[in-house]
Amino acid sequence: MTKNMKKILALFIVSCLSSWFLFTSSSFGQVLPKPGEIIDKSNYKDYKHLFSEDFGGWFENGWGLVKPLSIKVSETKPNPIPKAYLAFSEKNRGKYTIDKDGFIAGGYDYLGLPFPGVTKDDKDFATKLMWNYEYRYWFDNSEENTYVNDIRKGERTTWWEGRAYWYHFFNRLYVDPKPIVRTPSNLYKALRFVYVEPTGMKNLMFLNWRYLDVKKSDDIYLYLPTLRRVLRGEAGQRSAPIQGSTNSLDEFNVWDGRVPEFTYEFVGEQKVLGISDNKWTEADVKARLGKAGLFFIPTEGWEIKDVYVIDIKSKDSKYPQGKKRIYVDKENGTSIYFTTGWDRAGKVWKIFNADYIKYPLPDGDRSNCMGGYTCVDVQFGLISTAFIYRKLNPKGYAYGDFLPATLLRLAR
Amino acid sequence: MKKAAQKSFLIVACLGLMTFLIPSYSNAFPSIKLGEETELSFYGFIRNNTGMFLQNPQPFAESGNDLATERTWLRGNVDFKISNQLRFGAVMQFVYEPPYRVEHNAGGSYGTIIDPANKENGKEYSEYRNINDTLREVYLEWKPLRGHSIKIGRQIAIWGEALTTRVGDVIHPEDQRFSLAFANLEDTRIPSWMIRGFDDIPAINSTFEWIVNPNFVQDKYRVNRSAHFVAPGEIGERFSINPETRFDPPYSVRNDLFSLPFPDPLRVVPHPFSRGWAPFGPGGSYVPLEFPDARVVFPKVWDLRAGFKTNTTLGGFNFGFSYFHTQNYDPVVKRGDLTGAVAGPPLPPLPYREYKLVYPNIDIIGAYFNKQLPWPGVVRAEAIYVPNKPFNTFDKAGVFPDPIAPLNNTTDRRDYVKYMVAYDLNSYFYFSWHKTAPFDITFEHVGEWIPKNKDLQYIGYSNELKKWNPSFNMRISTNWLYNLISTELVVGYMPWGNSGLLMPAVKYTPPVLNKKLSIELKYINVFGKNNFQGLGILRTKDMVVLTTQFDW
Repeated sequence: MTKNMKKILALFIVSCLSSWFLFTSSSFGQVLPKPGEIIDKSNYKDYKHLFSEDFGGWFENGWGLVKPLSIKVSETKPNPIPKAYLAFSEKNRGKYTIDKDGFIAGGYDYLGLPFPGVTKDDKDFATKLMWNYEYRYWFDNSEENTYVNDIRKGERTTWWEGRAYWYHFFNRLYVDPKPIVRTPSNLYKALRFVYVEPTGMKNLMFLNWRYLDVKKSDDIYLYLPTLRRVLRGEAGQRSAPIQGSTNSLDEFNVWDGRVPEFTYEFVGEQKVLGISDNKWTEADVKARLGKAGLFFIPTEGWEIKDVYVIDIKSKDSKYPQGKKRIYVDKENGTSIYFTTGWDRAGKVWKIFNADYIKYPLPDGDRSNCMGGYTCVDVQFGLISTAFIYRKLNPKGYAYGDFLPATLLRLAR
Repeated sequence: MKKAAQKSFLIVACLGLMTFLIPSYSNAFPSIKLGEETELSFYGFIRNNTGMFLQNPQPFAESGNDLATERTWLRGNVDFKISNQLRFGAVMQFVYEPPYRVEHNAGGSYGTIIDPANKENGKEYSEYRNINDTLREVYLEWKPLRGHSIKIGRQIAIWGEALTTRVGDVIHPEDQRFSLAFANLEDTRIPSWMIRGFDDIPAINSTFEWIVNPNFVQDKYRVNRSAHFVAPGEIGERFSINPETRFDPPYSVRNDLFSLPFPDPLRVVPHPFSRGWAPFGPGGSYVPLEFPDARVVFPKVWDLRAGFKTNTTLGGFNFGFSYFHTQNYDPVVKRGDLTGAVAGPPLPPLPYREYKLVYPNIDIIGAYFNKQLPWPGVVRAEAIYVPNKPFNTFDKAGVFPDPIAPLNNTTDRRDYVKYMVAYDLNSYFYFSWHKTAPFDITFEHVGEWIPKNKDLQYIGYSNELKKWNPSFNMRISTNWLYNLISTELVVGYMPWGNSGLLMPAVKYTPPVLNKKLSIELKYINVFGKNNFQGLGILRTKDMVVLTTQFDW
């Protein structure tokens, strides 16, 4: 081989290697923290590629509302879908497709993930990922205590507490009857929520029905204790904030948008720091309620996670958010660690981050359920932090406990 | 001695309550967990309404100042979950209102008083001496089986879909004496003793609710309590309706010749009491041939009230039917016999005739539904049908002078229908310039229909009830800065009498004490072309009310 040929060969090898380094991962070549490392104001810019856009305000100045964030990195642990549900979903592999309107085609029976094993090479990957998210497994039933702190600029911290009761009628794996509870209204799931504190909101309840037929809007019923009346809520309007809260119904559990009402674009993959097993106890949280000057985001247990980045846009041109970007765990497709929402003018509006808790299941496996979230309304200057503690799969639930008339029966 | 003991009890009760409240003022009064299934919680509020009349002097009342209301409430709730099957609940309330200058000397001398307990030196609006006032609710709830529960005790049961008025909400009478639109229906309803059952039928998405309601409360709490009617020569109560003042014989008459029996000879006597007057002299004046002796005949304990309501969700509709047997909560006036008594000086020696204010039995058949429309908005509707509802009538059998006129010809029974159709548009109007909350709008149309309305009297006025009486109400509301400030506007219009209501309000809920404190300013304007039609019967009572509430 001549000298020139050797030079050309060396240059070729170097350029190939460089190209591979540049295009295989957006994080490749970027610094990753080690377990035990602290990330705070002094060094967060070195790791900003591990958070959603604009998340840096937490570290820089706590958005001017709380003390700047300081977190500790932990060892990354596996975070898979419960094995029983994966096995239950296997019958659907390769069976269904997405039609032109974004619905599942092929006669999906609402049992299991509709698109198990979907990969990013699939032309409908983003939409299929969101359908898998919609039919994810968290639990059969759940009883939850929810605690929310609200911090707004220049004012005292306020808080509220509520209890949620979820009943999934499909994809029941552990509590009889399984896997289906047939309901006269063909429901997929129901949620009953009651406010416990403060007194001004006490006993305010709502009931949300989600139907099997994804073309039907959810039905919502509200019980107002000051009127002792059950009112029918507006089903189609899921983008407006729930009374006094930063969240809309679409932002329940960080993202609860109705899949066919949006379009989805796969942006790419990256690594982020997220909490898959928050160790804060309910007592830890209750000790923080209403207190200023404390951290409201868990500061430990941040793991490096591989995520898909998906952009979500509403098909309704009047939808208040122009775009929402979510960061979904690649391993389980159900843990959304960050979301950023922009308004119609393209300005950053709301930044969410969520943490998860691994709850034990009867077969020894674990279910990864949301443990809490924090929302910053950047434009207004308000932080809401929520913590959710669940009793997974309690027995004794009945469909009759989730009827509209139930609200009157339970009313105080 | 008795008064001193009562006063001491009140002071001790307040001190005891403060002992509970003071440690809890900044944090929640937490629920007390007593076991796996057992939980006890206490909560309530202290509220003050301070209101000023904007029209001074108040017509038909004395007025040394403009104070419309100065009502202070203390309400406490006990919620005791004994087990998953058994629950105890109670609501206690204490209220204080001072004597009002504007009502000084109200109570009158003509003897048409409905509530003889009025004017107890300003104590009639306060609630601390009568168990019917202070123990609003006390009940046990038992769930013998899943999907079935029974609630026994004094409680409040709400039926109906309407928000601006009562259509299907027929279970309870109301106390209308102390408020004009600044207290909501929760505060004005008079709770009842009842056995109330719920039975779920999940297979058909339905619930069946039934009520059996013996009239265990003291008699005056079994019916609507209204602000004392203004009668000739007397001062009215603050929220009483405007009196009839038109000389419209033979329905409303006056004596402008003599100083007796009224100090003010220009005051008129309304129907049916005008039945005992006769024309005198060429000038068109009238003089009495008798005086009325008005007696109230309250429903008895054994005048049982009972009924049921269904609720079904099917095909996107939530609907149901109801039936309730009860008594008319407003009285009708039955003209009776001469009592045999004769008036003494300074009145002319004329006989007394009995007029009985009675509350006849009625049956109320109802239906309702609500549905999400295929486009934005929810529609609500309900209707009640009362066959043979009792009314006061101008029936002219036995025109004056006719001392032997047939009895009971001042009332009649006719079919009656009341309905409501509403459209709610919540969360739809959500603008980029107001990102923290949407605007919610509600329209309600309420109508009353009396197919055979001839000669039916509208309350105590010389007006015939209309065959169809519609009203149109609208509410628009939103909140600002994530519910730091909430605003609403309620507008009501009734073509009859070109009358209605305008009620803007703004409420501030600061974050201090975790939003336990709220302050609301409300303006209440009632308008109408006259004092006798539609909502004009309450016009001239414009006021502004400041409501401060502390939740604990």
